[in-house]
Amino acid sequence: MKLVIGGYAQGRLAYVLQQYEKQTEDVFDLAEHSIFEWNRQTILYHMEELATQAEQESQSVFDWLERYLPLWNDCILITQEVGCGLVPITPEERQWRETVGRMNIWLAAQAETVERIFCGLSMQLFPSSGGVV
Amino acid sequence: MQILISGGSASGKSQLAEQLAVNRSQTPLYYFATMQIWDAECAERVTQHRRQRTGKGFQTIEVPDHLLQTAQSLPTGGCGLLECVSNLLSNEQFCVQQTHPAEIILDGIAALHNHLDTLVIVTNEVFTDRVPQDAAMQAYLQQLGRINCTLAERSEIVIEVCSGIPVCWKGAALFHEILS
Repeated sequence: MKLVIGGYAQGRLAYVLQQYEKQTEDVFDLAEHSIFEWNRQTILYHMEELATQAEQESQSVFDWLERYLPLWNDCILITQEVGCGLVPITPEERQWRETVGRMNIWLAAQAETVERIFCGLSMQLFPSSGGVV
Repeated sequence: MQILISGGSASGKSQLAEQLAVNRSQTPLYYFATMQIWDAECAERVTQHRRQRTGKGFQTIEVPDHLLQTAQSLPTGGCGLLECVSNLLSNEQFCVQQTHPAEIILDGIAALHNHLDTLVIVTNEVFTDRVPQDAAMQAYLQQLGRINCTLAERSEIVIEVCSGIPVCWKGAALFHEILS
């Protein structure tokens, strides 16, 4: 599994489609569909919404991740960095942010590569590349 | 040459951008100021930034909007520092209420880039938080993200500043050459 992280509107999906020569039909968007509708698409987009879905089902997102991970060997997961704003006002939003952060750490630890996207550009964080030239 | 500098609030973007612009040793040396002065706090920020630039040889040009017209009125050559894209977008989206603010800004910056030998652009990193519910704020982030991606593609050097430390995303060799 490959993990692609980065901020909102940084061109993460466009980068993945181009870099890995994928088509839009390879994309499964978790902002649009429940994880239960996933049908072996190789790009999972908006992974942070898996935390929202688990919360709505009163499930642990980590249980879901453990179950799905073996099926994601050939997948590219695109998630968002959400931890650099002010502390959210409501406890629910604080919990969501915490869960997404922990989920991203967990995913990064399982991934064969981790790339961070910034202004449409990529930097490999893992395995360490020592930056870009 | 075009250089894009991004980073969080008070991360040291301006100082690095000024240093790069000054090191290019090109004249005239312009500072394109984009802040719309609404109140005393804005005025204070402007004074602080002006103080920081004093003695570095910058000629300040105020462009809160209508960047394209300003760019077209300039003679060819020299170096410019444009600070910052997030202000320009606020002005175009919320004050002038342009329907396509990203296009207007990208056209203006492309014209500046054409007129100058070097253009250093400062933008903002405001994307690593949960997406806001408010539609206008969402639209703002989408537009700024698109502008940043396009500018990065068109730039020879892209730097993210983190606590004053430059993280180089593009053109590291060229960047170090300018700083040396």
